[in-house]
Amino acid sequence: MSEHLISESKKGLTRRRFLISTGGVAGGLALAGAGGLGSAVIGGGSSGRGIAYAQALKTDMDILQYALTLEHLEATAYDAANASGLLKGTAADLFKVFGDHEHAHVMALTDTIKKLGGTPVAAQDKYYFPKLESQEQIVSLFATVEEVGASAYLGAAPLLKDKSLLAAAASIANIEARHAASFKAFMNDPMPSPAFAKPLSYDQVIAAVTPFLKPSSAPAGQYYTTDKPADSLQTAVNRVDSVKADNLLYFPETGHTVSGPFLAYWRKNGNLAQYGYPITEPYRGTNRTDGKVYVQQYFQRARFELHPEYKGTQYEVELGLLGSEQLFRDIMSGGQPL
Amino acid sequence: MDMQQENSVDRRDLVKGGLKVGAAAGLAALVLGVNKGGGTVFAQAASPFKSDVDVLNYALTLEHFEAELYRVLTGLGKLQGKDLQYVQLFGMQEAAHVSAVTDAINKLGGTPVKKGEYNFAAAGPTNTREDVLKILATVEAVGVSAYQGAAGFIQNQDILAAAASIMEVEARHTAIIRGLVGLFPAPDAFEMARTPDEVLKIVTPFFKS
Repeated sequence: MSEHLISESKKGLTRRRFLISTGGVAGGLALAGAGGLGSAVIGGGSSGRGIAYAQALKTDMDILQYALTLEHLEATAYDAANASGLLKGTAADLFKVFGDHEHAHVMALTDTIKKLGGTPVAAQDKYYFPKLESQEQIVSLFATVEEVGASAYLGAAPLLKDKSLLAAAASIANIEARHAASFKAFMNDPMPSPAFAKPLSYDQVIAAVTPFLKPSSAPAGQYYTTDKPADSLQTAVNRVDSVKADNLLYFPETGHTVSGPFLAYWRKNGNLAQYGYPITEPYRGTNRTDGKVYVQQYFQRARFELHPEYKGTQYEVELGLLGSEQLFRDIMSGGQPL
Repeated sequence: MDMQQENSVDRRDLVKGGLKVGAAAGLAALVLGVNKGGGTVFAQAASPFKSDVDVLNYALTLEHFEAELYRVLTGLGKLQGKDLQYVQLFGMQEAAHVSAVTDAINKLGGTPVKKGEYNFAAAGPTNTREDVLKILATVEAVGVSAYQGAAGFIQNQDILAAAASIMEVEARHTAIIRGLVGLFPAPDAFEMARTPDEVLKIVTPFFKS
């Protein structure tokens, strides 16, 4: 599985292949990992029942890639939360620092995988988070996300054969546990920590995070827009009611619409031949170059960014620095100069 | 180099001082078996533990101490409201760790170390809620680092999984208590590990000789 993973160089595809191709197999081949003393130790009234060690995590490299997959998700989720403008005071402080931690984990795992001769999985182009609406909702969501992360490490780390990697994984796992606990205490949860932390198997973790990774199972109203044609069609239908038809184009080829200032720019500066079809609806996202949040929309060959501060000028719509962003990702995922 | 010398002195003192047999058994195993170069590079380093039972007794020594520390500090009456609620809960959880680890050692055919006698005065003043919470935060952090530094020596995967499940709870306790006392709950991106030597050095003053 890992050789297969490594040979896949296209980002995004790599991850999907990793998740999907392993996910189906794992359930049937789960081994009883902790029937004996382990569950005796943690069995004292806790929910720890022993871990179903999934076949998916056969090698240390599989486990590192699995961890990196989750860290990418977490790091991106923190970026979105930090860019939401909904967090204040203590919560804002927690999210900023914890987000930095997750990025540090991404770097460390990426580095480790490269040193071991692997090709680190890249971040997905898009994740499918619930619409972020309030501080309370965000903290609650992240308490769950961190809980899953901590439990994932707990389920996978004992499988690591290299004890140095185990030590490294433990040093990350404990930070995820600290994050989860911090959020629970922030919410005044009467049970902010169990007596025994619960491990989750690979299957359980993947089931838990799949809604963030795949559009098909994403609930309505994402922070990042879905690329499901049906949703976009509905969006288009809704907009047609309120927007004049000449200010909105619907592209059945990709199921997305272009409207407003983005449509004006698209029409004026080369349209389909230059930018291709829209592949998202407009959404609020972080510009990775300057760290700020803009309304953005992806096209096949471009990312449009709305700059209201330049409204009425030729700079109201700008193109994202796709080349720079892609180069950074390539370097991060192991690209080497000739 | 200096660190190693200091540790050697500590170990001599510890042995000479004659710790209570029960409390010290876990630590004594370290004293006798510890490798001077023993660090966190588990693959290369000779294990300071002769068996998984030794690792568990090391953990149990610390869990006994933590459980008793919680009991004593909670009894001082310095904590109220959310502080008290959480600290009482965590104290019960430490007691649960004691019985779980004891149980595991018994099942492995080993002899679990018993609760010792402790010198809590070594922890410093306990006049205010801040005093009490800071002591707990410090001790919990040592506990996390101890588990993290020892986990790599555990041979049996099930025991390792169980130890990790307790380790994460110590991390949670640390974060929450730090938060209660106004410290940032997780200042670092990576949790620090401590070798048995380093842990021994820190906790020795708390064990009555």
